[in-house]
Amino acid sequence: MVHALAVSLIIGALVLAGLALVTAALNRRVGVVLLGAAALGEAGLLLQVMWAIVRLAGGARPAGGMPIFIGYLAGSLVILPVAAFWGLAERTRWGPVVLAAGFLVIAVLVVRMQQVWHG
Amino acid sequence: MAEPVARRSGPGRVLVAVYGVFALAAGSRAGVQLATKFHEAPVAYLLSAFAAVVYVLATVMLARSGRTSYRVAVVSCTVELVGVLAVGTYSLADRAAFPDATVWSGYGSGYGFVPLVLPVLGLLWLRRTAPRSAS
Repeated sequence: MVHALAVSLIIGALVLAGLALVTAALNRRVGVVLLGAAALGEAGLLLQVMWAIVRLAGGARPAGGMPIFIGYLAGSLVILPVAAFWGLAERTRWGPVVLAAGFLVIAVLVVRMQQVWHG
Repeated sequence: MAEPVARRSGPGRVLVAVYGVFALAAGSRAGVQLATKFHEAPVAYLLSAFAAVVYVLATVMLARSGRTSYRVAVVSCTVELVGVLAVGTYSLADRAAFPDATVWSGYGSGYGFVPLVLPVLGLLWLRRTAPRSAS
């Protein structure tokens, strides 16, 4: 997996989690900024999926096993849309907390995907 | 007692979200284990699948309103707490029985000990949002 992309995804997800927590601390709901942040994160994850497809099509194989890697890949795309939907439905500061949790999960997922890829 | 709080709003919404993540994580992990190497450690992998079912149940019941789902949520969180403590202890005592980590082995150390904290938070939240005449 391309290392620079993974590192940017991990750092980006942590920064966006911080942004979501600040939003919660300011007692705001999920707004345009956080929805944009979720969309940005999802775009980065899509980029990673496309990269993985190119690498897998080129014959590269994840050292940690194919089913696990595909599982992480698919799971990584589900988290942010669901977190955005679930957080948006909450009309209090706890909505942004849901998104913060989503971003943290993404950071962990990308780290795990790196481990599975490199074995 | 304070005003009855909706179970899935406020902190409850975050709780449901985190439970959902663990339902997904435990479910896929158990799925892969059962499908690819069930014969290696059937007991560990069946426990893995059981944990996944408990997480799915807890997620759905925390998200739903009503008295029955409240009771099922309490039972799921309790089973989860007992499970993480039992499997955690067992996995440390007999490492050979758990060649591949499950969500609950090492008290959830592979998952930042969230599996250990989650049922406690769940039960505390359920106590706060208890229906008036129940419990």
